[in-house]
Amino acid sequence: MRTLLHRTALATGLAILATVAHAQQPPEPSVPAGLGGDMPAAASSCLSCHGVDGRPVLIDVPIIAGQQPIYLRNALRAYRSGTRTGGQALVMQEIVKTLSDDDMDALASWFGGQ
Amino acid sequence: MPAISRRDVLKSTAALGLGGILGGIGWGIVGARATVHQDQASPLGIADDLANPAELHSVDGRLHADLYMSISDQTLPSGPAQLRIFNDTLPAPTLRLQPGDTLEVAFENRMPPNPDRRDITVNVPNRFNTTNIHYHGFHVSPLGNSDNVYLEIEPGQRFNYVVQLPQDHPAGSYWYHPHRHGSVSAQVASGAAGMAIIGGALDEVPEIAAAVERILVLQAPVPGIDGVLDDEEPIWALTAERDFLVNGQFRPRIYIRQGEVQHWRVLHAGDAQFLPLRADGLEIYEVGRDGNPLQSAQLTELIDLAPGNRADLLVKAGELGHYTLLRPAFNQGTQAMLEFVMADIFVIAADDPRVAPGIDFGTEIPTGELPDNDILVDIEDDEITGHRTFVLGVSDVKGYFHDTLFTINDQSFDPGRDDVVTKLGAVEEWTLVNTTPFPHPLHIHVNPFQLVEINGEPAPGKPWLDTVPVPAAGSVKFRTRFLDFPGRFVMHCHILPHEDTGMMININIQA
Repeated sequence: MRTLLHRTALATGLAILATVAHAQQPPEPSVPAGLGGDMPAAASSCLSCHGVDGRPVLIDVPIIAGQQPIYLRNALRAYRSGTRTGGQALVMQEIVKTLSDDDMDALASWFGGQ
Repeated sequence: MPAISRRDVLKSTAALGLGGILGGIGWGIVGARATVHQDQASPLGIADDLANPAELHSVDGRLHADLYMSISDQTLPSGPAQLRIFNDTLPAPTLRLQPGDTLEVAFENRMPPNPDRRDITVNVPNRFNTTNIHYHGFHVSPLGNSDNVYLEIEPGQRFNYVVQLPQDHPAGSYWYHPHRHGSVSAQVASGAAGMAIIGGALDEVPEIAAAVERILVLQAPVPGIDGVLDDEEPIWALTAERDFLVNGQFRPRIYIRQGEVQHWRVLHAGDAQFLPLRADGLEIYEVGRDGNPLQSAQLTELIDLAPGNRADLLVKAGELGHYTLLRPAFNQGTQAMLEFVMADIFVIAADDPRVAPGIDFGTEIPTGELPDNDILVDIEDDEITGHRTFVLGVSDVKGYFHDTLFTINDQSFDPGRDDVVTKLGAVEEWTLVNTTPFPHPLHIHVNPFQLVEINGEPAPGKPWLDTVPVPAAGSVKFRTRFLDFPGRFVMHCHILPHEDTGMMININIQA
């Protein structure tokens, strides 16, 4: 798992995986506590806001660990197509714009399975 | 950095020369330059009351200030410290101006040579002894020897600024601080900052004019590990700011008389931490933000200041007793921040004999609409000439400080790149989208903007600001008019370690 995460961070240029105290910068990659299975590479850009243990610190960001996979998949596609708007949709539209259908399916399945 | 020839500018302003700020007690006139100097003093005349910083007042349309930056020996709560500050004072003198005034600053960089004179990398903090001055919130020219943040004033050099305020300049609370990319966080985190007040508008509201006025400059100087700060490391951590000072004092005493209303001009001159502030037991009304009046006095329990923000407050005292100006514990994005007491507030008897005779005693809060500044007229849909979106992000890039680059639209700052090019007179709506788990207070130079949305919801009151926190995993939308001043200036994060590590863009307004 640790090796996978290191590769992911290097491949995406994003290592914002954990909410380490005192950080202004992307913290060092670490294994998300409490999350199991093979994490999809694209998930690295989700955890900084949605929480490394499935419980976000940010109070206006939803808990997605354990959410219904079909709901997650539909939500991701709606953000990418621009049909889901309002609230913090602008942030999600930016995050998902480069994801493929397969990426979205993998993310929905993995987060839903936590 | 882009080339403004310092030598050419110096030639053009050589006639201004250098003067001297008058020391001593009370009021004085500075030489033939007719600038009035006022020493730091309690507005109530009480010996242990929080003093307002020293002030320089314009006379007959002109304010001449002699400012220098040096490495100054100061004593912080944590012990002796060597800080890069203006005129050996924490904070620097308050500048009091009127719309239409000319501000002349004879500036001198008295810091020693930089140890890293060669081989610097853009967006890696560097050359902490090179500097300049930014006039934060001023609607003035960004060119030449005005509010030009591309200048690099090296150790041992002098520079004369001439900043011409337009006649219709919005009145309110502004400030000045260094802004040289690479050293801005180190110098502001040292405490190099002062307030600037442009008169008019709110000052003329009878209830506010009757009130005692307090200046509160909030700073948290961070010293170096062994002496002067020579590395970004001590200020890089968001939690590094240990001891917030008010006008250079740690946890000062503030006096207010029973039934009294005081006008507090509060400046957040820190470099990184947010300051949500409470004063439970007192009534607090916000009347202005970033120098611009609100529509009416707003009773509030929490004043939320991001680095760079100013708030004009009316504080009304009730029962006798001890209160506190408190920053409660809160989360700055995903980072938990601790509670601390900024100041002790004592409500004293209305006729307390310690108060000097003849001091104003305001008691009322204005109930109607507050006066607006003429040029801050709501920007309607049909006025918009363009839309832009900016995505705030962070990247892990080897070789940079902590392997980190902060980005806007996936790019870190490039002094040679124009990120926005538009025409003078353009009116634009900008959307800022924050993909990071930390809020970023974005500041634009030269022109104020009107906040219209936060996270897709209408912004209450649509306030005019110059610095707005973009929420973590959130967005804001604002509208701005590019008026009066062509030239190149910047938009950046006012968490200044983020600015020095890349979160800044260039805006080029063409005539």
